[in-house]
Amino acid sequence: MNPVNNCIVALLFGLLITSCAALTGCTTTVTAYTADKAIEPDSEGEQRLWSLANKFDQALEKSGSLYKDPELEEYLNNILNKLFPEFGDVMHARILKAPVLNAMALPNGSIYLNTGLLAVMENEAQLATVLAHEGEHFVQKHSAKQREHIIQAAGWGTLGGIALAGAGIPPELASLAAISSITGYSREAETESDNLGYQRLKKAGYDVRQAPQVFRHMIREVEAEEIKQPYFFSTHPKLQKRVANFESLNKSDTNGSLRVIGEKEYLDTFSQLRLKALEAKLERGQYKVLIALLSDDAANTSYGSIGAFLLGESYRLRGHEGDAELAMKAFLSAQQSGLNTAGLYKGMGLIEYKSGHIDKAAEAFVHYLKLADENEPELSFIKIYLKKIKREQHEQAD
Amino acid sequence: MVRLTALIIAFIFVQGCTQSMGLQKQSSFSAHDLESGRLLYIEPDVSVKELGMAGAEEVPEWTEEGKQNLNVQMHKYLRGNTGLKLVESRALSPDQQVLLEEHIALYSLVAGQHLTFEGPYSAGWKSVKPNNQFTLGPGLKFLKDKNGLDMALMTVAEDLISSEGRIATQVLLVLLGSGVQGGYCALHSGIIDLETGDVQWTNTAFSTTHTLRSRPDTAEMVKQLFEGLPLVPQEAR
Amino acid sequence: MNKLIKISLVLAFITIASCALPTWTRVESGVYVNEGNFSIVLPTGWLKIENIDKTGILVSIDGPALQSFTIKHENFDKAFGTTKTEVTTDTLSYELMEYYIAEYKAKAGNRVIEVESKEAAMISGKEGFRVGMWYKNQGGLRFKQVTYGCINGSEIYTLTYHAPVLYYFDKNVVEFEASVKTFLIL
Repeated sequence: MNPVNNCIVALLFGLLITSCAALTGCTTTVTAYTADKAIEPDSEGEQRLWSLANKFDQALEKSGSLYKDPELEEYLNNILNKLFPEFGDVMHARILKAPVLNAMALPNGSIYLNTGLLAVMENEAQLATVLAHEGEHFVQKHSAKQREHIIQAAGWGTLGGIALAGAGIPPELASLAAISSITGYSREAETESDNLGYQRLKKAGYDVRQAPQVFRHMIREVEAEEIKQPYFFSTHPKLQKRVANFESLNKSDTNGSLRVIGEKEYLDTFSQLRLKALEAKLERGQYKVLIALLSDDAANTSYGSIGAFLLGESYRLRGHEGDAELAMKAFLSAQQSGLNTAGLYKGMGLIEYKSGHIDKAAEAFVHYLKLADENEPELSFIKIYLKKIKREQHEQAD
Repeated sequence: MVRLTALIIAFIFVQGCTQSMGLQKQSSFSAHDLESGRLLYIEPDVSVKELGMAGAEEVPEWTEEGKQNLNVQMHKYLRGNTGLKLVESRALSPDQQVLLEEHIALYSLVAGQHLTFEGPYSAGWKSVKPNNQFTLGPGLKFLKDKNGLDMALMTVAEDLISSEGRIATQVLLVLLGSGVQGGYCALHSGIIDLETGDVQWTNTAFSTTHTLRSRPDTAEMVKQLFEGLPLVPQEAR
Repeated sequence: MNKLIKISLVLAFITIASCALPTWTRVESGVYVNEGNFSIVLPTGWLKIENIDKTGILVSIDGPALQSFTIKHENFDKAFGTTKTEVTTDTLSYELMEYYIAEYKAKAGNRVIEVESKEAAMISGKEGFRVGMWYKNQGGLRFKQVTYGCINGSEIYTLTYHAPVLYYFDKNVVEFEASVKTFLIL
């Protein structure tokens, strides 16, 4: 290393040490909310987070991203009150129009559940697992703790990276350790929320054996999306560990069968939303995720004939070898279950048309035209294909 | 040593805008258009954020502070130097408020686009818009009907304040020939014809050292923003 | 001395930058031919600029932030890189439209994209689609876009008009639609 670089590295380390105070500032002790004290921010940092969260709520309200249904919101908040009776109306759950499997808790008590998450939950106990977990993020003030951590970690990570880069070592190694805990919450925070949330589930009378199933849904989505990340960032081993953690907690629980699962109540309440959310996934090209979800017979039954139709559409659009046959099988299953929609025949027609079975395609397209609304703009596509089929049939006849 | 000196000079350049940069001015607007001497004052859209290591985070208290400073300094300057009277709008319905906010968001785009027309690559654009005509469209007519005024003053401000940690990192990165974005304050203001939506006058003040949290800084930026504003004729004041 | 170096640095940057980047040029009347890829009659008097990666052009009269007319051709891998959809030359026009919408929505993240219209369209004599969508940006400003698309060989060609709903979209969409009718893949 030449003398100039030596000077730079030495200068950096010197500045690194003296900059510590500027970077890390005052470290604040963050204490959880308790029922005997007023639920309000304790420090300037927490106040800032709370105000930001309020702004975030307002922005979401304006953005059109909220799935507004008072009945569904009431259902969610009743569960929240059962889990956190001592916190009254401080926490409030809302639904976000977002097809990915996710939920978040803001520092001001707002909890958002994505439609993508609600689409795959199978019963009230699984939903309660998520609410209990997110609620504990709020009660334990994990946002405030995380914020302190990020401010310090980002600063250290960047400076560390620079120092190492000057000595010829890639900056990625230095920042890896610093940043890895920024992904989601820290492992400590997630584990704390899991464990404390588990206790609340039990206390509220829910069947805790449903808890690990929530994370199995997430694992399925991660695997289907083929999320490839370095081990440090990977949620997959983290999720597997969380499933194992819940299973270990369940070993000591013997009263699971006496507790509430709430399958019927949940499915009846969320039936429309669940299907709309799956359609949204289809519209975003998440074919693999839908196939992973809907080809699982146990999971599929809760979506009925529309679930079979969406499975067919997912295979049709994924278009891998063999998918055409699988799509047709799913469409026929939907038909046998009583589905008789224009979309079903359009899907069947497109599969047959692409496969060269023009007579069957024509039959399906004609059926589609009978059922479709005459103002539907997609009619224009099917009319073009039918015209071409008729021309081809005519040529074949000649 | 030569390289180090060059890098330090580059750092001074990066950090060294100790005053507002040159303003971009545009005016197809004449003082006679404001014979009443009264402008509808639309509450400025202000956001003041802290630019830290992890990114920009809006600080609501700072935004409130910046908004208050801007309101005070704008009223003070315009009243004292141009004779213009700023009139607050009558209360709007929720739908009208949403529509106004959407027009403010559109003005923000127009102000930014206008800067492009004035920049080093503007030659082509001057040929299609020789008079720099921009408009927000006729959707603000409801404000004219409600308040009985022809023109409005619309203002958008963004203030990014670097945290201490970020400044320290900037210094270090520049010494290694790299960089990270520093803070800045950008203030756009325009006079809008409420009947047509035409932007009769617009200007931008920009600084890498000033902040709306500071009253003197805000006063200086407001002064530079409105220095070129055509004055109202004496008899109309 | 400092001021001189400051000015020199700025001038050097501008010179280097202006050599490297394409520039806006005026659209003259008649047919515009793009490097043997396509031809089209663009609205006279607008300005056009080539994409840096030479995949098409951007045309505008009010500035691209306020309204843009883009013509692009990309190979399938690049065009559908987010959803990683396997588009082929056998892909039907209806499916192409579904894939285009999926890619657009996937790229948009949590932003809510509303599809307003979908229909079959002929583009340069090929079966394609016309889709209309809108969304709101963070500031609450609504944007609308109309996209025409079709397959040519192993590429997808798209022609898109994008502008704020307030005033700008309706202002010039007619010119866009007229231009699309003259579009020819060479």
